[in-house]
Amino acid sequence: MDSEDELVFVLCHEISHQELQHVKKEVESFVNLQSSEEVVNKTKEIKKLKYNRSRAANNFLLKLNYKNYFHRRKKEIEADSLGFNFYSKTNRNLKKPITLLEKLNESNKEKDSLIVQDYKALFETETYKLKNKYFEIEKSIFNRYDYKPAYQIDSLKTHPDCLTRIKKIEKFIKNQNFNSASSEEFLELKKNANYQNLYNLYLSGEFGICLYESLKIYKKSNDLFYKDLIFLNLSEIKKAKENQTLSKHIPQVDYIYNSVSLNRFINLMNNIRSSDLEIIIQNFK
Amino acid sequence: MKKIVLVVLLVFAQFVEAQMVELSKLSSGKLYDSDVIKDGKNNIKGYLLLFESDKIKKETYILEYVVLDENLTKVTNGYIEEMKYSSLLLKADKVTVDLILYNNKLLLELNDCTKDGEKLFRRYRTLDLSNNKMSNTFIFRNGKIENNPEFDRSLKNFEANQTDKIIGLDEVGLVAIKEEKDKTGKDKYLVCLDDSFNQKWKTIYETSKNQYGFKELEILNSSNNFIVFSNHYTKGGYYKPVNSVVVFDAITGKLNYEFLFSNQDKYSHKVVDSYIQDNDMILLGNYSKKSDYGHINDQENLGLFKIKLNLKTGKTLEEKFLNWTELSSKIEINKYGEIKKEGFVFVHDLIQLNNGKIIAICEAFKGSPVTTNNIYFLEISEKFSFNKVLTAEKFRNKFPGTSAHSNQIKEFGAFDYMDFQDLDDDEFLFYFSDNEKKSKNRNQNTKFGIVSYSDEEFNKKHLNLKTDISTIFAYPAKKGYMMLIEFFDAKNKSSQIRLEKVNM
Repeated sequence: MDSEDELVFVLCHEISHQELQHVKKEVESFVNLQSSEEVVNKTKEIKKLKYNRSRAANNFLLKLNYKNYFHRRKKEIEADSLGFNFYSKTNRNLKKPITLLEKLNESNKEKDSLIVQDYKALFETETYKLKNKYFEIEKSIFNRYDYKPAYQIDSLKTHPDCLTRIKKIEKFIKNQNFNSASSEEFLELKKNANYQNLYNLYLSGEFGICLYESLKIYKKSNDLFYKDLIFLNLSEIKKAKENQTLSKHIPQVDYIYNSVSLNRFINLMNNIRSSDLEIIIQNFK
Repeated sequence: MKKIVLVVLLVFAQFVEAQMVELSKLSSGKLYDSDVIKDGKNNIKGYLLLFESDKIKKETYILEYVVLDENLTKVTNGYIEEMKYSSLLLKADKVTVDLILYNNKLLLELNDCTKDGEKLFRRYRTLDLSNNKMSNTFIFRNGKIENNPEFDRSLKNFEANQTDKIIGLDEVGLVAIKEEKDKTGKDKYLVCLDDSFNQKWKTIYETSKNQYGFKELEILNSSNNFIVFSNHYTKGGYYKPVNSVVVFDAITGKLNYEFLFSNQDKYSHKVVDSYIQDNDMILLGNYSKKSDYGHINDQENLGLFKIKLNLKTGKTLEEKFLNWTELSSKIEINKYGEIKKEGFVFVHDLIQLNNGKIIAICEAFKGSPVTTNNIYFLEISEKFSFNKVLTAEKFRNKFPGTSAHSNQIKEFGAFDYMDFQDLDDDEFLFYFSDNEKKSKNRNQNTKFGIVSYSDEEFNKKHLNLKTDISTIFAYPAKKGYMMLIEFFDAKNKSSQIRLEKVNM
């Protein structure tokens, strides 16, 4: 989030969910579905089947799920619509909800990376050098990953895709517009939120991701908060390695969902010797 | 290994969390079987799991297969139609799968399997890893491939549903081994097939019994030029005390030669591991005083052998024997391989290193009652003499009221040595369990041993995986990693499976 306006739109969207009683309706709908005539009858019908029982049950379950998720996506559009209405009364920049959704659309893409040279710059000293073999990645025998789940992923999304939401909101934007700047409080809040997000990762035991994200910021900013966080996470990672629990605290290598940079980091953390980690930890103390 | 992995994968159907894969979401079906995908260096490269998805008609099921890579990431999946035998007297409990990785393909051997583990109706499929396409079912019968054969589980059609054994060989392709009498006659032959099941070559290796009996081949090794089988002669349904190695030309199929172990009237030989180096082959094995059926004589085990052959000519380039007595200065072992208070040695692996040395992994055992004891890691010099020994002490498993030959103990998975990983550059990790088998005592159920070999030194590490809230089991996984499976005491907490790098 880059501006206070974007934050305000998020709040308006969430208030709209409440105003429209979406949560309450969701719970009611779930309870009604469980005891509905359709579900009871269909369950009896499937139980009587001698063959293809599993397919019939799966199809029925998926049909219910698709319907449910379709309604959930519809509710998001409703919250966008009412939320934009609330937002437009705050005399703020009407284009900011669009920029927010554009950022949300790109949020899964990793914006920065760590290459071998970064690790050398961050961890090496005149007397300590990282071993090249720490970065070696074993080649997979698989060239093609095409696992297909039994359900259509798009039909089970809780939110509509951002581009659809943008198009719908754009319809409401009129010429009338306001320029508003972010307050000092917002900037302070944003800075603290960045700290807090990473610190929460550390507190929840996600030492790997916390360290990875901290290193990416620290290589550019030299902010002491991140230096401390790097020290804390490295210390925990060393302990976990010694207790054979490292995989509880760092992600697994994944050629599909992880970036090359993240897989490189995971590999380094797995391969590096505890004695090397100790040297690096001392540099961040 | 198969048994170990089966245990590992049976828990795959349960939920695992955090950064670990949610394996229960792989399939909504019932897990039938699974197998590891191993490369030529004995390292795990992935897994294939087979689930029953639905029953669509009498004895006919839709099965879902799911392939995972070495990091447990889902690679591909699909649905296949398979039959499963079911009658009043005999019922197949599941369909099992055994995998061979060859030429960037997986050869799947599928079998109906009863509760007692009896396998029936063997058939095959291939999964092409370049495009993840699963083939139709095929069998090799009466000298040819039957693609998509019509299966029938009635007894009158039992014969029509049988297949000769098919193996997949890297750089060679599929090779069918015809051993039983069929419409083509009694001749025993090999048929090599290309990807479209066209015959590349056929070679008859036996037309009638010779002075030793009939050949029974088992694949030992192969390269782009040679296919090597171990052979154990049979006569009248019994094994004879004659073993040999049979070498074929992989391009033409021509039988190059049969190598008969020397002095078979006095000794029995067993090839434990073999290595092809250009045109030569190294056979590493165990030998004993002669036994009636040609297996290793457990109580009169004499030592190890190394034989180097020219693969083209069969000429013996090197033949060395190493007796257990030469180890007696390092451990209390007698000339018959009996270690004081522990039992006789069983040789699990003989690993040839790049520097000419060999690592032998032996486990002490007693055949009656079946008892397994400590594991011995031996470094053997280039000159074939014992260099150093590391003793890995572990729990002594005893099975009262049992009696078995070492081959059977291995087959039933009663030994504690699990497997090894080749980390390259003559570095290895060896895994063994240190638990009381079937024990409910958590203190005994959480110990796991690892021995590393690096810079020509052995190091051992015993992991005590005991926690206050769970029970953890460990198994070898991808290169340099072990798989830890954690079962929590709390009923509402699902099991976790994770891969942990081994730090030695």
